[in-house]
Parts: sequence; structure tokens; C-alpha cells
Amino acid sequence: MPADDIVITGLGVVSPVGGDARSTMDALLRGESGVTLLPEDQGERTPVRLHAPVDDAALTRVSRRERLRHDRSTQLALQAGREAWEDAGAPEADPSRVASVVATGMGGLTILLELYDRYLIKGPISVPAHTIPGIMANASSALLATEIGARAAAVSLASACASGADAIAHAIRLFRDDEIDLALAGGTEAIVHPVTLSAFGALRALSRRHDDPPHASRPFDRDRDGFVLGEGAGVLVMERRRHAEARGARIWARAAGAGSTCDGSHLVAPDPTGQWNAAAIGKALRAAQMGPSDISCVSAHATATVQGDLAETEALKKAFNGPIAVTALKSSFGHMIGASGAVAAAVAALSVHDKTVPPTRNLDNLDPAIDLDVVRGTARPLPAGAAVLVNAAGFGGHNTALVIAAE
Amino acid sequence: VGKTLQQEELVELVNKLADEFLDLDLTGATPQTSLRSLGMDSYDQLEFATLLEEHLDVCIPDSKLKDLETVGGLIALLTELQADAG
Repeated sequence: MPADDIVITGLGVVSPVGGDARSTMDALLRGESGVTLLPEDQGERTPVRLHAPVDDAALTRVSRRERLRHDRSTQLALQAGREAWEDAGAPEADPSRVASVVATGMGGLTILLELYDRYLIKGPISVPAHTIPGIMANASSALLATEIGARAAAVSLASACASGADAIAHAIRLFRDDEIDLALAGGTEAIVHPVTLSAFGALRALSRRHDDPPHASRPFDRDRDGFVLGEGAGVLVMERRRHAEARGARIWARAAGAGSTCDGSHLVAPDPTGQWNAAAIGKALRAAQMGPSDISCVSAHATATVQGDLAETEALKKAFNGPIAVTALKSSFGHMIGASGAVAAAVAALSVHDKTVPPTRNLDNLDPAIDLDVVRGTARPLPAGAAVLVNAAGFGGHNTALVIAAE
Repeated sequence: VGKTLQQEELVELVNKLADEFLDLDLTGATPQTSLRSLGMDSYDQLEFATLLEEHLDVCIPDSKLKDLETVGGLIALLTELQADAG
């Protein structure tokens, strides 16, 4: 294996179905759902009452002091980042060759909304000093950089629902430019609030299957009616192979390549032809020095909106010239916005390592317009040496694909 | 809010707010204990100042905040500001 390869040596996930990477993977393999109804006091303030929350008890690595001060998205990033760092064995590295790249779609939106409620009642005297640091979209990346001593870069990207995948893609570029030997890279999001649910509801983007929460998130299904807003974080420790091998690190998978494009067509609607999403996949495959036939399975963006799933189907058909195996993790844990691509990458690393890919839940009747080989019912085995392609897309026309390959 | 607190009540409120909002234990502190030694950096002091302003309905001037070093100094300052406000 080339010494310049980028390998994944640490995984951290906090999601609606698990408090860490392994328990999230296990829940996905069992086909569990993390979707539920909002508590009544919040639910009565929004027309959309479905969400996929992270259990507060999962924040085992976040102190009470940190919970008082940071936005929830940052708390989730600290939880996942610390798990990934511990999982990698708290590696020692030259700080000038270490980066922190943690993205978020919407930053500290929740802390602002909550403080605004206080402000309206108590006035400016009630606005605490942690407000601005709490809102800052770069808070997670900066705090983790401080914690691990990353001096090469602390970067915070924002590309809506492609943010987490874009963070990993950006880290890969930092490796390729020989800026770094080690990176903590991923995404985080925690924007569940009556205002955001109302806002996504106004875009007609959310499922309203209130009578049946576990079956609300239905990617690729004929009867899908939108996504379920989730929250979570996913962080990888990425490392240059020679750096990882020199310290005897355990390697989960390779971050073999990434590719990004922009639809350049609309602020919220995906290009229905999928041509630029397909182009991003092509770029990622070339970067990985692979062809379409080297991919065993796609971890699709698949949010379960009518338009999004159709556009992605077109993209996958163009990129793969035939039926490709696809799974849709959002059927279990909803849509974690800026975290989703990073969580999918962590799950892909476990998938190629464990040689098994989680199934898609809630697929009772495949949409006749979607002629993909969707993994459903039970987990599907992967061959040795498999590669999974993570596909991500975001409002704004952002497309990013990542190739996660077995060792 | 608005009520002038006696010294003991003031200490109690300071301890309570430090615990509740900053997760800092001030119960073993003496008037001479430095705020910094309690783990309170300048950012924490800003955070704490806003909380105290809100709960005591006083305004802590920047110049006074800058010179704060000890728990005793903080209590003295709050006593003074309350007296001024009252």
C-alpha cells in the first residue's frame, strides 16, 4: 500500500440510533429507527412534529460546563470528536501538520433561538457572553483544534446537507497538498426546534406521517413524503498511512478519494438530470483511481423527498452505467443535515471493515421510477477489499462524493 | 432582582450562580482566593458579570471588571454597586 495513502484510524459518531460509532452501526444493521414525535410543549408550536433526536445520556464526553456554554451542535461535535480521537489512540503528531475540519450546515442556530426567547422577556441584560462564541459556525472546529493541538488549519465549511462530506473532502485535499499528516474531520448539526421544523415545513421538505414515526422516513419508497429532521455528529481521524503505520495504529479503512461539483441551477431544488452529482461521483472515482465497477455499494444521500431521491437516482444511473447496490441510512436516523455525510462516511468505514452494509428501512414499495438495487430487509455482505461510495448533496446544488475503501 | 442583598445572601447568590451556570465550585473559597485559581478566565468573568448584572439588576462597568482579581474583590464590588443603585 502506498505510504501516501490516507487512512481512517479513528471513528466517532453520536446519532439518533446510537451514542457511538459501533452502537450506531449495530442499530443500523438491525434496522432500528430513531424517529419519534416532539415533546408536546414543542410539538404544539410547529405543523411538523417528527424528529430524530440524540439521547442526552449519549453525551458522556461533554462536561456540564460545556453543556451550559456551547450550542448543542458543538456539544455533539465534542462528543464525536473525542470518541474518534480516543478510538485512534490519542495520536501524537507534529501540531503544524494537524488540521481540524468540522463542518455544520447551520451552526449555532439553536442557541440563538433559545436566547432570543429570553431576550424578549428579560431584555439585553439576559444575553450572556457565550452567545457569540455559541453561534459561531466554526466553534466546533476551533474547540477541537485547541483540544488536539491542530495548528495547520481549523476549517469550518458550510454547504448545507453536503457539509460533513465536504469536510472530509477538504481534509483529503489538505493531505494531497502535503499540508498535513493527520486530521480530525467531520460534521455536526443540532437544529431541531419548532422554528426550523416550521421553516423546513414551509419548503414542503418534511414528512408529516405523524401517526407512524418509525415509518416516516421512507427513502426510495413510492409513498415517501419528505425527510425527518435528525441531529448528530460524525468525526473521523484521518491519517497519512506512513504516519499511522509508524505508530502501529489500527486502520478501519482508506479515504481513497473525493469529488465535488455544484449543480449551479437552483438554491433549493436539485438538478433533476443529476448530471453534476454524477460528475462529482466521477471525480471521486478518478481520485481513488477506481472505476464504477470497483464500487460495491453506494451509501446514498436519499433524504426521502420526492424530487431529491429521483434526481439522485438519475445521477447514480449516469455514474454507474447500470443497477448499483444502494443503501439509505436516513431511513433509520433521519436527516442530520451537516452531519449526515460524515456519519455516512464513518458507517462506510465500518461497512468495508466488517464486510457488511446496513439495510434501508421502510421500503415497502420501491418507487417505479427508481430502478436501483436497494439493499433492504437485512444487511448485505460486502466482498473483501470492497469500496463504498458516500454520496452527499445539499441545498445550493452542492454535490460531494467520497470513496471509502477496505484496507 | 432589585432587592439589595446582605453580604451573606450575596455570597450565597455568587456561589449558586457559579455552580449553576459555570459549573464552578466556590464554596471553599476565601475572600483572598483569586478568581483565576478557581478556573475563571477572563471569558468566564464576562459570562459571570452578565449573570450577576441580570440577577442583581446592577451594571458592572468595564473598568471595574478589568481590575477584579479575588472573590473578596467581587463581593465588595457587588456590595458597592448595589449601594449605588439603591
